Amino acid sequence: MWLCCLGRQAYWKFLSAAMPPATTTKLALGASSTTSSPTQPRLQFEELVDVIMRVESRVSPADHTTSSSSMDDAHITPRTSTKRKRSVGWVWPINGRGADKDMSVRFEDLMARLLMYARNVKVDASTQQLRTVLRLIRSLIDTMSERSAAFERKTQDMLCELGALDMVHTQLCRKRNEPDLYVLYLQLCCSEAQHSSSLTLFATANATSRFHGVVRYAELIDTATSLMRNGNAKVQDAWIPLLMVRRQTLGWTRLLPLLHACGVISPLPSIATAFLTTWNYMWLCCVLDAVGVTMDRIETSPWSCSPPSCSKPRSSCAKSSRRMAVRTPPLCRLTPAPTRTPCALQLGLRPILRPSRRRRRGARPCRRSTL
Amino acid sequence: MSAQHTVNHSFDLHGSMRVLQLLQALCEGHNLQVQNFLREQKGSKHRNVNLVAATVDFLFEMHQMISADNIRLATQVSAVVVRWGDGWDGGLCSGPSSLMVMS
Repeated sequence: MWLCCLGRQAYWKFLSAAMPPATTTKLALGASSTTSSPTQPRLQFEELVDVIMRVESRVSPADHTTSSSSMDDAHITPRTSTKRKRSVGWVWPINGRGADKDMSVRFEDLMARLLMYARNVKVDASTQQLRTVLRLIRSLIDTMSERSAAFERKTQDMLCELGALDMVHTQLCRKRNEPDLYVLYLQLCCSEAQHSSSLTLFATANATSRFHGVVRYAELIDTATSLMRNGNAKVQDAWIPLLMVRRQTLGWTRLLPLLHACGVISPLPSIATAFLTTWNYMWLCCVLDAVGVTMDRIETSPWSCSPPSCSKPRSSCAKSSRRMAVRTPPLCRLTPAPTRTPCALQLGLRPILRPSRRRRRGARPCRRSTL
Repeated sequence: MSAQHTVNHSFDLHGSMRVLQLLQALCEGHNLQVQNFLREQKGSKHRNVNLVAATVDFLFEMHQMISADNIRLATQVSAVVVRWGDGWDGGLCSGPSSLMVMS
């Protein structure tokens, strides 16, 4: 089992990176976390890490004690040995924490947390961490498939429901803005082959660069394949809506609020926005590059979707983004809602401290607050 | 063939294998909806990609140069094509099956 090979301390160290800050008072890890004290999320998370490691060891086919158990065994309640925890340097229990015997921490809770973490991992920055989560997914599916096809399917369904598919898709599309990346890759490779008499056609500069992208995400593709192999129709069907949705093209109507938030421009009157042309749009892109605003930051801006702290699913964010684009008047879009300012702060954007011109003149309040 | 081409050749074979395995997993189990989607992405805002035709063309391009180096890839392409033809209830007059016959 790869988790054992990885080493307990190294695995803990990795998972510590996925932990929320110690000031977090609530961690969505199950019912028990809603009544947590500020110091408990860390403990719960570590406990869940321990759970997932023990679950994986329990579902091993070599373990005769659980060979006939059901999938519900994965939903175990952690009844951990104090000696075992102390042996890895973890102080336990703390503040009577050990008396909390009926706390129900589920395997799915930890997996959901890990998948959410993996979804937000930047490919360039934390490739190794992303790979670790991907290997964990594949390891779980492989382990279950060794037992039976039914176990494998249930594991696939469970991981899909927890967001594994969304995570893989998000990572495949990251920095490329192409949801159908992996579909197009094959098409491009085949079309290249049509114009040549040799497979070495793949070695042309263009095709090689494209394939480099595929190989770079090889583990993502392997994980995607693993998630739906043996004809899991549920997971297969879940791919279609993901592939159909393309992220909104970066338009100038989305750029303006961002520039405003960055302090690059002052709030523009609506008549000025009407004169923005394509050339202006390109100029704005240059400005964006100059101020170091990348596509990733735009995608996680408070006006688009999925900021790091956003718990809403991507689909609902996309809907709200479209709704905003349709209903919100241009001037209102220039004025960020006060409630969104913390998101901008998280992104390192300079907050807007002055009111918009229109508000200063006593015009009617912005309709954005009603959205 | 130059050394670099040889390296790139094997490099790309691995990538092709992965993509084809993904396609095979997508169309396994006679999932008509996914099979149709791979042939035609109705409702999509971007251009249509007919992966069935592309894969069949790819197989035709490949079969003339099958060797020990790429036999696994050829087998994988064939498996994907067979999966697409499998369980197509519309018969040979519609869908991927007809595409393969016409190719």
